[in-house]
Amino acid sequence: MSKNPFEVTKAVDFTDEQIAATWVDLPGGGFANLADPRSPMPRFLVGGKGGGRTHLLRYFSYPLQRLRHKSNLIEGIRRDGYVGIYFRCGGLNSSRFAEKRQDESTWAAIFSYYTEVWLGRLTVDLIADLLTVASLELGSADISSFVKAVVGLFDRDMPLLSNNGNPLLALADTFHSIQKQLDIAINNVALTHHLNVDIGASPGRLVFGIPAAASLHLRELSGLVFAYLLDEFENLTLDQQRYINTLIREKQLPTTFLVGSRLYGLRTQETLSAGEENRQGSEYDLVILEDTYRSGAHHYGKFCSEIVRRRLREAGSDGGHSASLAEYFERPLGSLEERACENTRQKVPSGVPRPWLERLEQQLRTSGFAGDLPVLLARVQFSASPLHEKFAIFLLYRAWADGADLVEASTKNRASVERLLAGAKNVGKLETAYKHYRHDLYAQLLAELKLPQEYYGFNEFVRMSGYLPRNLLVVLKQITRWSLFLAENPFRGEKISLKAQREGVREASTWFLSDAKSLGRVGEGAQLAIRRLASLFREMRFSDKPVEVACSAFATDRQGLSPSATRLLDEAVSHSLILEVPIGRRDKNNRILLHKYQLNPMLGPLFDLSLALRGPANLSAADLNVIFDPGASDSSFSSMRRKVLARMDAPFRIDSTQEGLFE
Amino acid sequence: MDYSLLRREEFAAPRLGELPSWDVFLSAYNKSERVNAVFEAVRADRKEWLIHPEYDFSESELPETGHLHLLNSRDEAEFWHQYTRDAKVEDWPRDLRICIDSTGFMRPHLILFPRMLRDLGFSRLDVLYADPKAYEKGESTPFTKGAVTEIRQVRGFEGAHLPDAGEEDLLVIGAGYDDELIRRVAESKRAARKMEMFGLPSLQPHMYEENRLRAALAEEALGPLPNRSLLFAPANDPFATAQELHYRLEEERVRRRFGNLYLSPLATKAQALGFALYYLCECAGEAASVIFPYAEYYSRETSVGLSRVWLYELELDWFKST
Amino acid sequence: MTAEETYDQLIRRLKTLSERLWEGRCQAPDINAWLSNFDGRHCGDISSERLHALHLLASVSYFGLREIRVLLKSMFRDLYRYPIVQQLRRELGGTTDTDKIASCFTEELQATRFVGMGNPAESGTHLLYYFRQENSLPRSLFVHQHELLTSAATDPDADFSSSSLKRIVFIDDFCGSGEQAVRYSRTILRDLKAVSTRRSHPVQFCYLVLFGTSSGLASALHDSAFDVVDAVSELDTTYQTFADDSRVFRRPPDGIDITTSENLATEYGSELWPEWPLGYENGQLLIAFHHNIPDNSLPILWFDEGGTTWAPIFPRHPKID
Repeated sequence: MSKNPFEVTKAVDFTDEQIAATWVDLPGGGFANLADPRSPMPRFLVGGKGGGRTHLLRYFSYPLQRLRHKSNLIEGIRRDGYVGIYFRCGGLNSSRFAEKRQDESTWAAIFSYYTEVWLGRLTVDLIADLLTVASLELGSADISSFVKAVVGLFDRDMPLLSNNGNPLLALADTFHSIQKQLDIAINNVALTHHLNVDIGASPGRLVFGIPAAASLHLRELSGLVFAYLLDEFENLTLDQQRYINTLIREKQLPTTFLVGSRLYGLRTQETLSAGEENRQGSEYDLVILEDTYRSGAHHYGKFCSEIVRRRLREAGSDGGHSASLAEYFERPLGSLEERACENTRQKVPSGVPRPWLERLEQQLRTSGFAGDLPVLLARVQFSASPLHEKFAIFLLYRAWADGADLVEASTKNRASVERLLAGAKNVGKLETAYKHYRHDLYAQLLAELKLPQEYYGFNEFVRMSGYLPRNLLVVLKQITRWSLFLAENPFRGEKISLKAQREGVREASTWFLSDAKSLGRVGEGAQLAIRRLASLFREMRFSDKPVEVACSAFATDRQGLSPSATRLLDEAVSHSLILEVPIGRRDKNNRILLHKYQLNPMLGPLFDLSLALRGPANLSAADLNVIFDPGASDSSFSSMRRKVLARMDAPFRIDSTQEGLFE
Repeated sequence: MDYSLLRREEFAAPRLGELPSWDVFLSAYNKSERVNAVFEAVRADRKEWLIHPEYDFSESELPETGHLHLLNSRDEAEFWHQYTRDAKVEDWPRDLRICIDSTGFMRPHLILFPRMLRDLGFSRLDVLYADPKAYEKGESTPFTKGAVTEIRQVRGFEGAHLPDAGEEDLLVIGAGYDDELIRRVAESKRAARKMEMFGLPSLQPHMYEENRLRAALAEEALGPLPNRSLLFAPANDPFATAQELHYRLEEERVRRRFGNLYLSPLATKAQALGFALYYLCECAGEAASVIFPYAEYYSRETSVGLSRVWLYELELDWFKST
Repeated sequence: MTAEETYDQLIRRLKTLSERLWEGRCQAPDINAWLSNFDGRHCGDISSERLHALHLLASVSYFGLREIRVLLKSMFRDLYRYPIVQQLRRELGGTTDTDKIASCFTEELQATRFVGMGNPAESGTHLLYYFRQENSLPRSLFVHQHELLTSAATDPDADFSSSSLKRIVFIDDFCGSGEQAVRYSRTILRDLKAVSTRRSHPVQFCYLVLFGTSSGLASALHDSAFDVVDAVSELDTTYQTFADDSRVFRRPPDGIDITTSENLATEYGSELWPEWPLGYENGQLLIAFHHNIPDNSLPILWFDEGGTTWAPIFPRHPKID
């Protein structure tokens, strides 16, 4: 067995048996609330990569039903009330239904017929298997009438191939043969430019007709719902999705649909009937898995813990000696203040000025405060507590930005910080400010000492996963690998070192950025935009006077965003590079809906950002256009960045002449 | 099948003058030394540069010697339709001695060409492949430039597939230096069981390690690969590549059934040719396809130097007709 | 990039290499133990010495057992079988009759003997086991050097043990200077050739290696009596770590330079093996195998003699001479 319990991070890499073994239900109502294969209302399950869609759809699929009801399949399935016909749209190799010197409508017609045959074949195979495994003694008359009914669904004569007198297998062979002929015709057209295809059934005939025929003629299957579980819907083109939407619109009992798709995968709600569009709530339901996880964040944490525990148990690692998963991971010693002290002591030799003081001194000197220098520096120095010193400097910067009298302000602030340091209560506003900013100030301190940022501990990894459980597994996989490389003994009594956690997190973060890249130029554009946004957030966080705490989000009413910036923003959201936080707030003045967007916390470590979600940064539509418009040059981004940061970095001059207008 | 019967010959860089001569010689123009040195050295009645749109050359950057064919389709079938029409290939005597330098061609285009010639009734095609001394930036050499826009089956290499859930699919990736391509292909067949083929012996001894390091970046998309999922064949030998695919896939068929087979050659042109050879000889008409991640642009110059040239003789009548 | 960042990058690279290719031979503690050899006594600065050492380590090409097996397969298929099959095909009028060719090839194979280069305890002999296994060859084709002849070569009646013998293939993992091939020509090969002439029994002598330096192979070809000299992989001058066109320093990471690296390897190497501080015959190689590391590689990687405190990262099993 692998020493690393997290080597497998994707449902597709599991066998049916492993899916059954690693199945963890969502606490608080469970997955059954999210998707019910018996429900007559078709449902789209959408989400980012690694949200658990495939796991869920496969759990409902017939092969898993077969595993669950080993002892009595037919009874079990009747109890379930459905059979799940699972298939991946990727299997259709849908891009071959295009171009090759044929027009779109020809391809649309061929695609829908091909898919009818494909789904028909899956359903017939499933029924044949079910009857064999359950060794049902069905009257041959029943089977014959079922087969006859299916053959009758075609618009033209469809002679059955013979298969040793077994009509069901003959039917399966017939489907196979039709499909093969279609394949040859579709494939050869690129080289020959001649396309000879006879469309044998109109949309829906086979998809609805076969379950109906089974229900009617095969007693044991009557009353069962036939749930088509369509996964990887994003692999279909817009035209092809129209066909599936048409099936959803014209759905007939006993058939229903559960469709799994990536967020970006829903290209249209249009159907083949002109002008008809499916509407959420009437033709279909839509569930976004991450939103569900987020709305019960507490449940999500528990869900993650359960997944991890299950993995550890499967790998024989969890001896139960860790009551909490957090126990497996080393934590840095001491409070933030103590760590700040220790790190400073180690990195700054005595007698050498601390880098933040040096920077301040330089800024004051060049901004006309040379005369006040000794006083000001003395006011902000707290050599016993570098974090408090950072805070005092932060307060000085704040006063500076406000145009206050620096000597006066720093004198006043020193008194307060001294009380804070002494642990006095009721220091008032400053105490709150310190509480808010101490994490960011500590992060700044680490950066200034050229130390890596700290992302340690199980809860931090859960937060980092951005509501996609697979991300958590990837983080843990990389951490475990590092731990093994460092010759530790992870999850077996020895704590995983900080170094292993740090390197693993960094690797997972790097992976995420490249993995979330979408196809085509828009994917490149989104990567650029994310790098811009994240580096801006980083500079804001590490600025002299950060405005927002834990800067990693922004809000916009989307008014004034250019079409290409809007498109790229949506692209980044649909590929989970950016998470849309559902609790958008309305602007106080004009009641326009604000959208709040958070950079996916998986990217946090790559850009030294906080994983916490706090207030959104204040970026104007014009700023966002520069970030998200792929046409915006690097130099216009630089000058926008300078403008934004001018408000946050000493000497806090927000004067437009320094913007390099002519760059 | 015994692909080792097919002939190949090695010419060290100083021996290029000893290459045989041909009636027609085709090469895809780019900036690398190995492509241009071979074009220069080859003796042929007619030497043709084919210009791929993926290299994005402007008119002033085009070569001055040789016949130029500016082809504008990124679709490999259309690319060759255009060329065969322009060059009136249908009128060529079927025993014409044709040679193509595979080095600069896009892989899908390269592998379709022997099949098209076979369909037109030609019986022999010579293929050259030039080994570089090193890649420009070692393991971080960028080959594709710009985004992968689509992953699809290569024209003429599309099979009749089985409708299953995908767990029975097998995807064999010829893993090159470009982790993005590996990732794209693996993602496009997420459910498939994956096998990876590496060039060993590699073109130069250190390249195997570079190759593995780069491919490691795509490992999350591939999922865990047990040891037996790794295949090895010389990076510059299409025949040994086809042979290895033959052995290993026969073994797989016996060991564990697989439904659909997908082949994706992402490494050297010689490897791509080997995949094509295997497909044409053993997979035509089956539930098997060659798939490829198409990028908008390719780097014009990725390698340093020329260490040797390989000549492969393709006897086209070996291929099964579809 | 700062020195620390370069260091971290190199460690990450080594982690991947160790996990994927180096058979777990370079875990963090192994690396640290090796780095602790470098204490700053030659280049003045511990961290710079260790950084340069790390770059050398991260540039090693290591071939694990799996890779060695693949290369042995390639040796048989590409260097031995392929030329024979092509020859047969030509002789049979370009036939594609696989059965016919297979049976003729079997005859050729039966008329071949594979021999390990060197003493039975050395790599060449050691590899024969895998060579035979990978290529499913019958045991009878593998003999010891002294079994090639019916009696001692000095015996005027000595003959080849097999009357149908056509070729003898000497196998080794590595050809560094070609010296061994030359030495063989003066001893064993000379005796065998003498028998061949005396008995009018033509035999082809082949020398096949997994890896060979260009100069070593050239010397083996020109200065020895072997008819065929070939390597699965040839190492040209770019594999000489401190050569002008060295691949190791084509684009070194920030903070790494060839001069410091060479000084480091030379100074520490001199303490270990004063005669050849950069490897036997000034090999300067960074190459290692699952079963051993050639002495042409830098001694700082492998030196493992009693009496020193040097902690090698790829300890070399010394030759039994």
